[in-house]
Amino acid sequence: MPNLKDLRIRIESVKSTQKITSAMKMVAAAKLRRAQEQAESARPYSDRMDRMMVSLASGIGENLGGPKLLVGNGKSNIHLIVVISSDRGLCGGFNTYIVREVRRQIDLLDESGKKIKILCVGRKARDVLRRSYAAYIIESFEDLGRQHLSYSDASEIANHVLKLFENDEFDICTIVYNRFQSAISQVVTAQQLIPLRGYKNSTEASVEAHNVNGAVHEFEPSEKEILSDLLPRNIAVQIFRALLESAASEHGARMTAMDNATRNAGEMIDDLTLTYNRTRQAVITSELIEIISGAEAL
Amino acid sequence: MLDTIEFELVTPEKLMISMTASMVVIPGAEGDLGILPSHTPIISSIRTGVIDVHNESKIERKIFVSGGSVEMIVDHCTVLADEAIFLDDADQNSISQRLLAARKALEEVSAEDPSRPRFEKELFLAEALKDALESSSKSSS
Repeated sequence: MPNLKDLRIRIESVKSTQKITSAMKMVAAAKLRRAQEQAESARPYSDRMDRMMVSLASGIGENLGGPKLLVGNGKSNIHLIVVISSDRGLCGGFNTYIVREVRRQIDLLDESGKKIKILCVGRKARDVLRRSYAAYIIESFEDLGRQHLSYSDASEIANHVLKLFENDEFDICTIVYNRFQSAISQVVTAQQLIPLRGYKNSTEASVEAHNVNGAVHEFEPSEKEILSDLLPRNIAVQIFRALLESAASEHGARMTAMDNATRNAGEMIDDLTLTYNRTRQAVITSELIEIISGAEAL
Repeated sequence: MLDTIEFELVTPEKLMISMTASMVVIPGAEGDLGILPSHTPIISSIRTGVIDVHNESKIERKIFVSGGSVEMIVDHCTVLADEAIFLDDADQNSISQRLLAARKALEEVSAEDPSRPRFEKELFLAEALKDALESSSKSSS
């Protein structure tokens, strides 16, 4: 039978853990709200960027050969995977899911004999991936957006990626991140950044949209120049969007994880309190029996 | 036919402004563009400069942009800017501070540093911003 003092100590310690987890939940909730707002206010830009890209890409592409960023460099031997995770833990399966997806992709690519490079954003994924894929990791960014995630953080990563692409260090770039769906659910998403797939498929839809608007654009300077200005910017915007989504997801995941932890701590406290009370009664009873039997013996 | 256009300015971080205007003057890559209602659909790059939003024949807002692109479709004028600052309520002190910080940062990086172009760009922007602010305050006073 556990003794009373031990039980009391355990109850106290679980209680203070519960205090910590519930405080962390509050903090995560506040941060989640801010991250969500930020993600929402960034949406108009990327929506309009998409629209502009569609109207540009519909004109260019097949006929002009198109810039490399749009149609690729014709090879698919080296893949770059940009992994976006968090810097800190205690956020449930957030980083585990990301790493699992990355592993899956690496295995797939390995099987088909492709070369792989990894660029990590966030400490957690780097730590885990380094164990088994240390040779693949070419760069890692950490401590992004500690206070406030800004566009310049994203464009720094984008510039890095673009430079690698210019130097022919990879052919295809994919970004893996947690897309924010709600505070309790995040979806691991892999999105191809280079070459920009999808615009070709949406070309027909956009041509229709064009006809509705009756708009055939004039371009100034040339279509090609605008595209070569916009494509790198689009990469930065996509990365920025991924970073924002990932930040919101992280706080959502942490909030859920901490909520569960708080609830579990509550259950544990109830159990322990029950045991404590039972033990206390048993002790009192046995003391009474001792006293009574002692008195009877006299 | 409408006699105003819907003007929108967005930066990667947020939708800065959405308003109606009778004319918008945009520093296009190949010369300033005056955009009036029913302008032909156009997509253009923007150079660093100031966007003037006119309403009823006077300038309602002056906005500094660091660059970006503009799209005009059917009375909707959308500017995608990397960075935008309203000159009407810009704080002169913070701008001069930014200029000083940019100068100092550029001095500290070595010429071979691969990130040097970024600091040069920042200095260029800070200078352009200061000029824009000075010329706008001169014209209003």
